Amino acid sequence: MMATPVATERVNERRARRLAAVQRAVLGSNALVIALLVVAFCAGSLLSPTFLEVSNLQNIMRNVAILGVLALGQTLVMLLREIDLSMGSLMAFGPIAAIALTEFVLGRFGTEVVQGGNYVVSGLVLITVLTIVVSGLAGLLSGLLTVRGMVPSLIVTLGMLYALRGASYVLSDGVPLYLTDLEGFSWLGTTEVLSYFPVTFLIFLGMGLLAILILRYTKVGPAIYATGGNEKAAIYSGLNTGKWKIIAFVLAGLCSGIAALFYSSRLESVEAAQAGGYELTAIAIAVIGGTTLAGGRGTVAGTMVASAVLAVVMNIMTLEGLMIWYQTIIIGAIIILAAFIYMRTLRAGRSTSPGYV
Amino acid sequence: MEVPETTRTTARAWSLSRALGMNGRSLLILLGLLGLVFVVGGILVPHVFQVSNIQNVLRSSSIVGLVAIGMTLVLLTGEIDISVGSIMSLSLVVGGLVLDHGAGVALAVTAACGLGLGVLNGLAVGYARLNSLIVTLGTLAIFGGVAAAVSRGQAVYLYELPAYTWTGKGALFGLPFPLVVFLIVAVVCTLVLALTRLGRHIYHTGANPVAAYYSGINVARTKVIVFAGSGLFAALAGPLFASQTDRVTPTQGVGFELTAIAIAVLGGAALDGGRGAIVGTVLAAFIYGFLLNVLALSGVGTYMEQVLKGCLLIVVVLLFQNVVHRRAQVAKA
Repeated sequence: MMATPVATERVNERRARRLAAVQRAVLGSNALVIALLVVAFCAGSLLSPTFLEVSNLQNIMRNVAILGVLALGQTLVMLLREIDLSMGSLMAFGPIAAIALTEFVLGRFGTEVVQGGNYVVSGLVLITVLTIVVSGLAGLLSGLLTVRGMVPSLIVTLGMLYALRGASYVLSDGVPLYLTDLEGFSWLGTTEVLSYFPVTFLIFLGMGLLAILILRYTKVGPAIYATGGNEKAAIYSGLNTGKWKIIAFVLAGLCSGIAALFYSSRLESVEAAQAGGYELTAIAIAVIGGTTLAGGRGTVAGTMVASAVLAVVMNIMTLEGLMIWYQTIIIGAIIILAAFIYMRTLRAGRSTSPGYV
Repeated sequence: MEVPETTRTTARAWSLSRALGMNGRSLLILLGLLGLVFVVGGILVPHVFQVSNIQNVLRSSSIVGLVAIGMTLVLLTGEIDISVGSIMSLSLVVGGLVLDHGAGVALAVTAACGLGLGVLNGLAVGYARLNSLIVTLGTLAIFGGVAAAVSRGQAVYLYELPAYTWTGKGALFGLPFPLVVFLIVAVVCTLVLALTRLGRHIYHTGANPVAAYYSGINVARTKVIVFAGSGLFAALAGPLFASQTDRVTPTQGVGFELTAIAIAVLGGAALDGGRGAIVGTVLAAFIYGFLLNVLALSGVGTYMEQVLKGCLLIVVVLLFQNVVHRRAQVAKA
């Protein structure tokens, strides 16, 4: 038996509206993800005595910084209804290309950058700056191919995922590069401010706050949400939607570069295989934080809290000695569950939507 | 939105391009590309024209092509399935649990498992109406995790089961068996898309799901069916692939999803649904296979191969979008 579209629609509408009202009343639009964080945090402190230890919390904060910065970039791209699958590969390619370029440039002046095949010994400033520049340029290329080349971003960044990973292996010969002898490189990933807060975590908070303020108080916010929400309408109201998309891809590239610095500085090494699959983690965080792939919906604050959720959950699972395969199962389940709950509330906001979609 | 091919050709009762779901120009370009890769590669690089090499390429491209056919069906409805690699791994591992009961049972269990997992994806997308990229991103992790958990990360060896490994290594009438499976699946899917009501529903669902819904098409069921197909074909490709190395491991399917998407898109399937054809996917699988083969034999190295693979994917789609499908794009803007 099949109900008529109109009747089904009306029932769904009523049910969803009730659900949304409850949610709004409880905690606002980020209710779910905040609740998740509280639950995860409580679970952590109950399950493991080491969870609340300062060193463990700092550990979590460092992970939040890496995953969170990446997810900020991904959120921006997803708000514009695009996607960036190249982030993980770029996290390897950025530093590796930067070291290769530094070696090339400083080599001209007779400075030895790489000693004994794989120990990086000099060129701190140039390596750091070039990592960011290379990552931004890679993002620019993705943006141009998507907007000017009219190739779907899924395909562009899928190609970049292969190409950048391969190029990382070509440039590094598949050998890990150690940065232990590069004076000052480990500062970023290992220093704490006020002997408690990791620098990377504070940088992440600063970036997130800046993004929130820009989206809320400048014309950038409306432009981005309008482009992602309804591109045609945005074009007709005079927005250069292509420009915003290119900017978003560049920023996502920059975020990958910054995350790569956080990551490598903490491990004091760079290798071609590093950060494989991080693009999917970044998408997962954005989704858990309430960003939809349909564009125009999602908040930076949601993403920031969601990166904490993921880092805490992963930390608990590691403390509990859970095998890595159970960890991936749980993260997969969280992604689908979050998407399901958001979908229910999203449908409430669109009471005029047709029976399907 | 481009006027669908079907409405423009209603005057003619039957045409080849309509039956294949692809216009003649795109078909010629793909055929030309295949010829170009094969002939130029064969002239420049030694050993490409050797019979054993050609058989190897046909075998490997059939296996990944099988997964790409499933992907094409899903893309036609406007959805995407990035869990196919994990479906392949998990159904192989589950099939590996019953190897003691013989190859036939193991193969049947593998196929059934893939079908079941595909249905799960389909239910979440069709009935729960979740975004397919997110659902299959989730199931990519879940199925992959379950595969590793069930097998405890261990490989199962197939040396004692020649009947099982024959599926990947054997030949029928001189054709590699994976190629036979691939071509049969391709022909069946082409016929289903061209002749049956389900085929029309698949195309209409992808072209405009809301319109399809209001014209009485069961959109949700159509989506469940294409995801089930995608899961089944991934599971069929599994044993063909596992036989090559005589073992079943929980990570065997990793990366298949990306290659399958690349092939489907190369073959002309649109990511936003409603456009694409099995014949395009078949040709694209062979183009892709020979391209990789030529690169491998020319000795550029596996790392450089990966770089070229990524660049070629972008360049080919760039050309297709801006030259071949230009009219569609202009109409859209």
